[in-house]
Amino acid sequence: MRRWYLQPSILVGGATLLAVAGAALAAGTLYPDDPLDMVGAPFTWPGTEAATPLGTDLMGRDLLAGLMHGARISLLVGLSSAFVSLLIGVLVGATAGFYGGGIDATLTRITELFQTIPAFLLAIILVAILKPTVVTIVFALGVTSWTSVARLVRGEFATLRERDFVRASIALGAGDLHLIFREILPNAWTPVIVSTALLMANAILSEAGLSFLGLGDPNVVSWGSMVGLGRDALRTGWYMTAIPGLAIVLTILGLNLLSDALHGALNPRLRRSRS
Amino acid sequence: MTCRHSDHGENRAGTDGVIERAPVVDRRELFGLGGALLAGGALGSLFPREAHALTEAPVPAVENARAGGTLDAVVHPEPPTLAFFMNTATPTRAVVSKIFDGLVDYGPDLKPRPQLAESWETSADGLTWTLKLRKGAFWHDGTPFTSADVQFSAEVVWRRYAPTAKRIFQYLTKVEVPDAHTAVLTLSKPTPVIINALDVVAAPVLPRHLYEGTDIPNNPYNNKPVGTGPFVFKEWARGSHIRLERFDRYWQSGRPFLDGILWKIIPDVSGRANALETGLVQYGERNPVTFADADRLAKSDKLVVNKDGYNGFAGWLWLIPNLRHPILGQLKVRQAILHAINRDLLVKTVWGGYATPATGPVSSLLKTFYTPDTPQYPYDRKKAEALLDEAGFPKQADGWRFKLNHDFIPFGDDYRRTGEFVRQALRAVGIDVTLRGLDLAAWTKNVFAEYNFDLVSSWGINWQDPQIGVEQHYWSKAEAKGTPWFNASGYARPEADKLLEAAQTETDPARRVAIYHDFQKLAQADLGLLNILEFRWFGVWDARLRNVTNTFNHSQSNFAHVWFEQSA
Amino acid sequence: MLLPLLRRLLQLVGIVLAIAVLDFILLKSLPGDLVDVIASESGSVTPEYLAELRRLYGLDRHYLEQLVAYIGRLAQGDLGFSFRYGEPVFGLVLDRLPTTLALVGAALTLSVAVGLLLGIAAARRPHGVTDTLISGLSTLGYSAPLFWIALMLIVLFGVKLGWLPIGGIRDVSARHSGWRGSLDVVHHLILPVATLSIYYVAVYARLSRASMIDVLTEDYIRTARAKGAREGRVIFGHALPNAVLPVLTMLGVQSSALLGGSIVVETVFAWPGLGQLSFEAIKSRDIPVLLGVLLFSAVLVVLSNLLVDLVQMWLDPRVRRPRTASAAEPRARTEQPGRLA
Repeated sequence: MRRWYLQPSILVGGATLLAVAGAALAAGTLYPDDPLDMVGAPFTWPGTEAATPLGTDLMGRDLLAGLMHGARISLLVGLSSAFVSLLIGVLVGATAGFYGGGIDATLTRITELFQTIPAFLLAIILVAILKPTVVTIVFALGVTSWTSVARLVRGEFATLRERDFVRASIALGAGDLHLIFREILPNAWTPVIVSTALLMANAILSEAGLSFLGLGDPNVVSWGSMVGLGRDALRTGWYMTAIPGLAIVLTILGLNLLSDALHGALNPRLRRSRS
Repeated sequence: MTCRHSDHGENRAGTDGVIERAPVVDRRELFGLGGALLAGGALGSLFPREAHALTEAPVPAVENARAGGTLDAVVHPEPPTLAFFMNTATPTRAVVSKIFDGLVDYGPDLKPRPQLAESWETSADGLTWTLKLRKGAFWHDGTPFTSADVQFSAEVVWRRYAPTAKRIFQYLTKVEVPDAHTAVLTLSKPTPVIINALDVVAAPVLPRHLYEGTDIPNNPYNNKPVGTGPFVFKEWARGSHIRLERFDRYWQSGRPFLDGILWKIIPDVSGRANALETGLVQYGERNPVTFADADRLAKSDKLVVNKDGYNGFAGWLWLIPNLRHPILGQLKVRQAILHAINRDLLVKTVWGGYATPATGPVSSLLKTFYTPDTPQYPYDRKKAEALLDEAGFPKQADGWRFKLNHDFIPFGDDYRRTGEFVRQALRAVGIDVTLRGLDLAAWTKNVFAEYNFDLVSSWGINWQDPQIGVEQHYWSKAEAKGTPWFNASGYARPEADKLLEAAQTETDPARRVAIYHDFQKLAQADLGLLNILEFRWFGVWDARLRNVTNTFNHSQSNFAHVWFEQSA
Repeated sequence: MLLPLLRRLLQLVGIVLAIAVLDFILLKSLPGDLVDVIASESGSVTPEYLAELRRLYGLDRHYLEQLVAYIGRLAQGDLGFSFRYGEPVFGLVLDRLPTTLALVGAALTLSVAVGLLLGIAAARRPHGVTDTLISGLSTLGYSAPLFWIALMLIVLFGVKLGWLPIGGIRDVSARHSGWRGSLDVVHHLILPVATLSIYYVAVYARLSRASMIDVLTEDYIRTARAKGAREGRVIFGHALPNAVLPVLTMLGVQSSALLGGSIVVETVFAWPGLGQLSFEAIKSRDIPVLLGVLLFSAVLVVLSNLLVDLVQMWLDPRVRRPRTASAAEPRARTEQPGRLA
């Protein structure tokens, strides 16, 4: 059997993400100025001016500079809101799965409640309440997408809690915190890791969606806001919409490929460890 | 000493290429007062002391018009309501102005044209206004229009609901109706602005038989209006369209020419461009498409892109500095901000050339009241930096002088881009500007209810008179915490108050204009508002559509005179 | 079978109540109110008028008092009144519901059908040419933001080719009626449905491929094959009913995401549905409408989950028993975060 990390999907996905991360890192050096600054003639098509290889938008801002700085926002929002949802999801799921009973029932109800509210709508409402900045967007997206993690972790905890090694620890008088964080959590990571890439992908997409609707942070360039801006020029310069959109597609594709590969690679072990 | 509106007698080539013959109107002068200098009629709209008696030919006159054809038009955004006597939102105006007629209408020269009022006269002391109302006008349900409707509207609607009328008619003490077609308004103080504020929205006339004694804000006819205008309301499918049909008993015989107007609701700007381009709609008002698309559509010989017909809708964009702010309270800082913004470039890049830098709070489109002779602050980055240094805000080690928030009005991408432009311009002189992307409710609350802002970009309309559209931004007594569009900067200058209050009751038109000239100079010296640019709204319509721009504001014209050239 | 049904219905009442309270508090913390919006749009208002509006709309009362009044009305089945639209919320929501259902229903039906077929085709020979092609394309479709697909479709089919209408639900000036009217709506549906479908086909193709691969390795399939059953019968008769379970679960899960997903698509295509209504309601602080939409969607979610459960019980007797590891496994795959935009 080939080593799992040599699959084409991992290579392609990893390379794409590395390229995006590279762009985000290089943005500050290659384009030290504010990417919101107007630097050229508006409506410059890609490949017509050497200074702006990807063209300019309808205000004369460099698309390439925007794309690279936008990569920062996308990755930042993706990583941080995935972290927020993991944090909430793991806490809720671990508590519910570990303690069971009334606590479990209550937390499960709360989780279900959140699942019945359309997440994107909730995110829009939260951003409107908190005013759009990168931080509030991260918070809004994190708070609206933890439910799946919670359910996953709860399931893992409920199973693992009954396992022999946990029972043995209990018999030895281990405290709850020790059991949760030292004994069970390390064994429950696998499904969480698999869904992290998806959480990130969803956060990036949601941030783009919010920005597209005009609910992004107006002080930073984001791929979604670039698509939203380009929409005004759909008939005269569709490239302004197409280019940042492609950047989103490639990044999400990279994350999805990675997540698929992880799923395929980790799942057999998951099954083995359970049997 | 006669004031004949000689310019009405000229043949004017309409912007649509149709020669319009002006109406034959017999104007009797009732109270000769005006000076000879006014005989040319340049200040005609300021003459309350004259009466119009319409003898023949409707206003505006139209020759060789053909009747027929339904106009598919686009309105954006969707009107929030059709209760225009409470909510005067622009899309509401566009739709309702076809359904209701006002007491008077205004031409491109901003002079009054008789509509439901055939003539009007003022007493010498300016305290009594006598309106002769039209006979043979009907509400769409067949009920005749009478002075009782005007009396009811003035006593109840103007006094309690209509925002402009409420201010304009603050001194109205009683309304008498000696007969079915005469209404006499009595005031406690002269109010010369009235003649410029009798249009359909400013002084709305509602059907008394459907509104009297009802819960007016919840009246079922608010959203299925019954008016006196040339078009009858048929249906409003939310999110889709509003259908109007020709009123067969309209008081102007032979009009309207159109069989109906179908307002389509197309929220997406490129959808509107597509609809206009493919002929799905034949009329769009008030910047219906992006500036780039406007330039593109203008090249089509099937479409007209035109900036005329908006003299009474002169919009201008300004920054509101929060004068309570320790830094923005300093005049030099405000001067520096104006010097830092390249307004020619702003007009070009953000407003696609459909604007022009403003010289003050009164738009140059409002010719009667406008003066260019005011202090100006041209783009000069060095001067801006020098002023900021002088004011005591040198650049710190981190390169910034100070921080400011900027809240642009969330009315669409053009305003957002204006905010981004201002941000870049001010950052260039060392002011660290943060944009706060608030939605309309949050923005309104922050700016007008809590005064929780540093710098705001927003816009307003002059309307037909500075007293209607400019005064409330500068008059210290207009400050009404919690009420949008009233003095939010905290500007309070006794000299400005004195001028504005003098203009409210000054019955001599020339003196009133002079007062407003003085006011503009003061406003530009004090910079209570940082006036940035005047809009040049454009409309887009089918080249076969005629006579659109023969009005003070084609977003608020009744379209009785608009017609389609059928053959092409 | 009746007991869980009853329990679910009871649960529904609890959820509705909880959602009402939670959302009410949430929405009341939005800065500014409907009167601010009206005043701002209107361009000129008076303080007295604003005060009168607030009194009329009940916005001058303490918000706990407003909440109690709202719950009281809700108990009588009254969703409240939208002063923005001058209409009862119930009618307003009911008015937009068919529009959204048409859009989402068409997209989901199409996607489940096409997705299942693609998934089955791919699962027959994992890592074969067909599978690689289908998996690759569905991963791509799964990765594109809906609003961007929508805009690209508009550029191609609306602007460049001019084949399809790019917004609205019908050509109102043509005044079609009867079957021509329906055809007109279908014409307007094509692009928005295509947008949603590109994503949903990808979702269901991936899902059904995975679960089909799982099912095809099970003993009873091997037994069926050993008995000499024809391939078509093995797949559609034996494997599909079980492989379809996670697809159904996903349908239930997605019913809540539908409204969210349709916000962007409805906005781009000017489709006057619930998504647009709720987005407008947020911006204009039309709280009763927003609450109405949220309650409606909550009920919809609970009911569709209930329906999914019932269908699952009918399809797979194993579900009635405590879940075994093998039945839970395909379910776990649907426990992945739902897409928002």
